[in-house]
Amino acid sequence: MSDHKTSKMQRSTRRRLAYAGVGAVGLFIVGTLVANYDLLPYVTGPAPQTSEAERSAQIARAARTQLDEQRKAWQEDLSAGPPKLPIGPRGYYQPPHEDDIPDDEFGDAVKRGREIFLNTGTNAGEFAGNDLACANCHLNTGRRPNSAPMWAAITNYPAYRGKNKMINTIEDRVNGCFTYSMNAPASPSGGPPPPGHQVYKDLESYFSWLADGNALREDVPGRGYPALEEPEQDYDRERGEQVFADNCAVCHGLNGQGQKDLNGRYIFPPLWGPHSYNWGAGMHRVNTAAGFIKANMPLGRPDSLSNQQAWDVAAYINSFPRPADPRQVDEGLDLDEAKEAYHQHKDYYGEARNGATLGKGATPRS
Amino acid sequence: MRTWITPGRLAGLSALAVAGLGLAVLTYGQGEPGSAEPSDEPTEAATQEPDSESISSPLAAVYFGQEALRASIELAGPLVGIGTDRDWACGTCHGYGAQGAENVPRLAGQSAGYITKQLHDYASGRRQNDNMRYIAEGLSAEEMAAVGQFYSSMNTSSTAKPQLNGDLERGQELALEGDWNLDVPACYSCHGSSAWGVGQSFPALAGQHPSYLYTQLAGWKAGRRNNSPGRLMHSVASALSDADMRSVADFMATLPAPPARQSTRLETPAPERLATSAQADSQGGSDEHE
Repeated sequence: MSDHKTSKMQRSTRRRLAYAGVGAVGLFIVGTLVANYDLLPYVTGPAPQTSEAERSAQIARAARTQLDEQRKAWQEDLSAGPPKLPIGPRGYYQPPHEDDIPDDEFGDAVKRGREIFLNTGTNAGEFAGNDLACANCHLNTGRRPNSAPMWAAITNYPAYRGKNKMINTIEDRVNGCFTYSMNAPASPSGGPPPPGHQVYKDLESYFSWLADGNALREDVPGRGYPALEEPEQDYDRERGEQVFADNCAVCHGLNGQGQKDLNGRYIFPPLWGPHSYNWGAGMHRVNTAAGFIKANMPLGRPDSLSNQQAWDVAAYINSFPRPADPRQVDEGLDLDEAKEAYHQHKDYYGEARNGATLGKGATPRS
Repeated sequence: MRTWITPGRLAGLSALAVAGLGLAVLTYGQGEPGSAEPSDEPTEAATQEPDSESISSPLAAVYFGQEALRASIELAGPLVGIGTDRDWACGTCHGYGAQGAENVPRLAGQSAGYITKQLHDYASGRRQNDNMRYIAEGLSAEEMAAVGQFYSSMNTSSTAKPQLNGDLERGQELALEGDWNLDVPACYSCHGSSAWGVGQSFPALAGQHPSYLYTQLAGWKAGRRNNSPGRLMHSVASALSDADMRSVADFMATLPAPPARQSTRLETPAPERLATSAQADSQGGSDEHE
């Protein structure tokens, strides 16, 4: 044993150099492999990386925190100046996070409003005459920019509207949504919520909470749907049919009637026919629908259609029968009169298609 | 003893050991495509745009759903492993309750059109998997449809469990609300309010095995899988981080599995024909702009 030990101690310089050399080469090879093939994470475990999702969430949080701080500073000292608009990761106004809905009576109204917005047929079913929900056209529960977000709508009412030639409060505006987009005449109650109804109060609470920190009466970016440039070729429903089959039908169905899941819940809303919006809804205008579609559809692939495709497919969708315009019915107008009074814009109202005239009575209410 | 260990031999052995170690580390690093190891490195397939032939009608699943309704379900028996001792019955890998395991997906309660379409895609190579290609190439269109119908009407409770250390809260957020900063809609907004699937085209995710779901998401992101209608899943998966994919895959494993389907008719009308060349052109075109 001691002999062996002694011999080890007496290794020649040459031998030690050889060991060192081999060791160096070995380390070099390992190092090269690690560097070239990015293997360090397998040795040390993955480095903590910030994903884009986390970065975005951080920006959103920081914007709201800054708002709170600046508000407080201004309260304490006027010379600190008013708070800035909270700006989210994509440069638009940043609404508060859902977890920050206050835990009080107002917060309860906000939550109820949010539920009505998401599941209109369940939570305001008395006034819903079709199978749509607010959130079908105002995506991400009314938060998404360029999808007519509620935080940009509520700050711009009261306002004069050419549609009904009067000053509209936000309640009047929501009344219009129920009457036309939700086809309230076909609802169990036969109309939109009556003035002062709790449905308005809850929805307005939700909108107002979303807009907490937004500028009043400001045409902020992301408001409404984008106004698309006129297409190069006139919009054409025939071309739109192919766009629809290629991009929309997998969700909304070739017949445009949407699809329910196994719970019987509409996952993809019907786009025309008796269960969709009526001839008075803004979405029946080709230009409005084109703007919405371009910026928001297909879900998960916004802005993937060309301008032309968006116009064409909007034309296709809006050239089918749908529930009658309540103004035409209520005012006892014939189709031509209603067209003259209310349809001087880009739509298919009163036009003949497949032997039927689009507009009055084209779709039985059910 | 002294004579055996010469510097030369030692050097040679060390070099061999180092080379072997290096090789081992390399293989570990690349992993097999099915492994649940994080691998963000795009494979070669990622750079390949699917050629026009590899994109079929986005309504293929609805079309095949129609075929499945017409198929006689008795055809499926021997194929799935009932009353047969074939080596390659579906049940051999997917389980006789079609509950699946790990990277082998659960099939019970999945829509017939979706299953049938996947079999066609395996056979044509549009969806890549050597085992499944071998199986699917041996099936007639009618047999595929029968197998789809068989599994869609099967009732099996979930055997899946979270296993990828995902953040279940984040997974739930993605499932219920999505992440709109990334243009990721809620999973539920297409796969249904219980993630039991919608119609023929949108498969059930609830009760699916996390490593299978994770592998598919990673595959879409990397371009290894590209047979989703309108490339919808490609867009969604590309926006998800590795952690998000693990989170959402784990979350789905916490949900009750879809019940058997008893469809006697389609939820939405089927196209008369399958492929549309205009579709291939327009899709190819728009992808290039991304």
